[in-house]
Amino acid sequence: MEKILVIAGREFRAAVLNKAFLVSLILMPVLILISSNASSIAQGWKSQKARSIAIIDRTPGIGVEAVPTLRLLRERELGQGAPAEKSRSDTTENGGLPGGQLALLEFESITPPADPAEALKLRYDLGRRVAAGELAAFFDIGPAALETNPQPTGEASVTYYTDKALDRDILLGVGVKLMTIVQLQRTATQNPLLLMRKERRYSPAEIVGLVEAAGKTASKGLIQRDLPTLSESGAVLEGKEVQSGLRPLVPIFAAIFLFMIVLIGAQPQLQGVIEEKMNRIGEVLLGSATSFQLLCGKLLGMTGTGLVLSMVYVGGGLMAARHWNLAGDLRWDLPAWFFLFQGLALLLFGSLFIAVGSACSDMKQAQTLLMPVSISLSIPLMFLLPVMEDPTGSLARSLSFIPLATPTVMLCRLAAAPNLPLWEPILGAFLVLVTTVGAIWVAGRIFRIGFLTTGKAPSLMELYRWIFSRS
Amino acid sequence: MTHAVVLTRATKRFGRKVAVDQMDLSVRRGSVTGFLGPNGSGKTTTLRLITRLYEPEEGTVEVLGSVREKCASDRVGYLPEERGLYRSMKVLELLCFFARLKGVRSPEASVREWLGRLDLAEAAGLKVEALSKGMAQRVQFIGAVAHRPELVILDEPFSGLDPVHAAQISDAIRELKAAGSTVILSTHDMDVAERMCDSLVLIHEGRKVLDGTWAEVRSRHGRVTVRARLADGPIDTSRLPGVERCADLGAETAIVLEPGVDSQELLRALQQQGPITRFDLGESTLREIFLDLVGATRMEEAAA
Repeated sequence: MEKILVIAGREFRAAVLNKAFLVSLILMPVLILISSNASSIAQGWKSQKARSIAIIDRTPGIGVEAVPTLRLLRERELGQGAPAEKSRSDTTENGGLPGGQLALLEFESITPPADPAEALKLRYDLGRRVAAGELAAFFDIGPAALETNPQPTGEASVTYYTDKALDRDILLGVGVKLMTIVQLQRTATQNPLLLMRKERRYSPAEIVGLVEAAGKTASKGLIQRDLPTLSESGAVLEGKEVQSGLRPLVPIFAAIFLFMIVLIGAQPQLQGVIEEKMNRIGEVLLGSATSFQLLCGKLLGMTGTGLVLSMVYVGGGLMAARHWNLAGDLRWDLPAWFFLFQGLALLLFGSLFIAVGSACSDMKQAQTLLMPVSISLSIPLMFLLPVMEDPTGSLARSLSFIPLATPTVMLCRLAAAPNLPLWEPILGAFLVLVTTVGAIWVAGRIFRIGFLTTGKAPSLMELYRWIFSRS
Repeated sequence: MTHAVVLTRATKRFGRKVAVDQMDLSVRRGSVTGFLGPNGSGKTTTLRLITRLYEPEEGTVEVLGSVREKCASDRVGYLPEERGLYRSMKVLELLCFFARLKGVRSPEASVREWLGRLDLAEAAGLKVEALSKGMAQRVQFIGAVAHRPELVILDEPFSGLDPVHAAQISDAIRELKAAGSTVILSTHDMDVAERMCDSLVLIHEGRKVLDGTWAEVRSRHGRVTVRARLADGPIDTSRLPGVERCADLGAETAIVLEPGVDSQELLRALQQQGPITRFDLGESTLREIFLDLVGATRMEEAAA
């Protein structure tokens, strides 16, 4: 037992009395704080400007009273102090009415034309207003929405037109509520107690009362479409129907996949550099090539490996999407952006990982120096959901121009907002490129000295000297 | 251009430690030059300056006519003191990789030829991790020479080799010299240096202590040594002329004469002490000169 304790004591001291332990001791709570408050931070960055939603109600007669009901619901929310935090945790399943989402929404009632072609033209015009930012989205309540056994088509349901992958405020705050209103009004058409009314409909106040009493909302039947477009001949084309659940997954999946490929590619490079140092291969290599040639060779090899991995997975994913008829939901420019940002991220983070590897003599030392790099790689992931929900908001835009976060965040924005102005990803890519060149220069300076240095890891001051010293 | 390597007041520091101090050195083209010196004397740092692994803080290092450019590196072969091989690579693949790094487009034939010459033909398909220490050492040697370099720098090329394979490496070095290559050889083995090197450089405390051909070194620093024995007992060295120092070897005495002293005078003085049963004349070995010089430097430093 005594020997066990002696060994345990040595292991404990070795683990605790080093810089890595102290750094993680300080950084861990900071990371937990950031990750747990990412949603609140995002909320703080969220635009407080009111957004407009247009609603076309094509049901006969007085319609479903959608706009007055939504306005009343919004007043109720505001009257309850717009419990935004509560609303985030409420779901339609637990019976609570999602609140707070309507607080910053304005509703515009659009009178529908009788002619279907005119109706399509109207939807196209509204789509243009959405693309221009005048409207956040628009809804179309089909003419057959109040039929008792409606077919699951746009004519008999509610269609949500948007250019975003996911906007929970609109989807849950308006889409789900509109479906609830439609379903309640559908029951009103069968309710004998309403026979005396001019039209068998519930009033907005009654609907609000029923929703609150029943505590249930419904989303079944809600259809999501892209904005209508124009064909080459100038004819208006209906927007593509968004397949269930795939669209919201793409931005998150793309960003996390990019992150994983960087880790898969860069981590072995770090270990490889340490191995080359330890096995003294570095001396042989540097006798044949300059440190810059060696670093660039390693980076290009790693980037090539990462891109091949990406091509296999992305290609496989696209083929699978096509096989299961989900490909129509995917934008074909996205893989190009993905490969661009993937390549840049591999070069940027790869150079930093190699610099860390060349400065250290073993993995324990590397863990300490790697911490800031790993954190800068993983923090953007904590903000993916808010970025995806509001890809053109201040938070998303600001994060996507911080070069270390650009690859993941900009990719997420590109996948979530198809109409992102082209200059934004181009500027983002340019900033990452400039930072990558700088990172490779710094890595090269560290590499040329660190690769032949053994012993303890350098201090920050030594690293500074390595970077800026002449020889 | 008669010199393959010229160091002019080259200085390299690591923090406060001066590893190479104002080194002036020339290595003649086509020669085999031995770098000697105790551990930590600056030999390896000097070699690393020549291979451009380090840049001098002061002075210049000219290699094959090029002062700063890295372009000479393809014409230089380097065997480092501590062996560096990728353990998971196969021997042939690894050696071809090293040769390609040196600019050889199709290195396989040359590599296979060297493998055959050093009894490693059957190891071509083996992974490096499966090699013995001696085999790995020879593989590393091939990595330094397979691209037919003009300048070959070998840091302790014989360590870990048995006499048969050491002789193979020696032959290979002679062949390189015969083919016109310049060889710089760093070694602790004085016999090897004495036997193989055309000129010698002794480095101590980062400075060049000795430089020249073996004949020059011997004429400058060599001493006549005598091993003598008397039939009647020990030799009274205080009564002998021109003795610089002596050592009691038990039955015999080793005597080092001062420069210019005639050994016949010593013989006559010994005869006066009694019948002589042994009187062997010899010249200083490189080991003795090395120990003399390094010891003297250390004493001078202590006195200073």
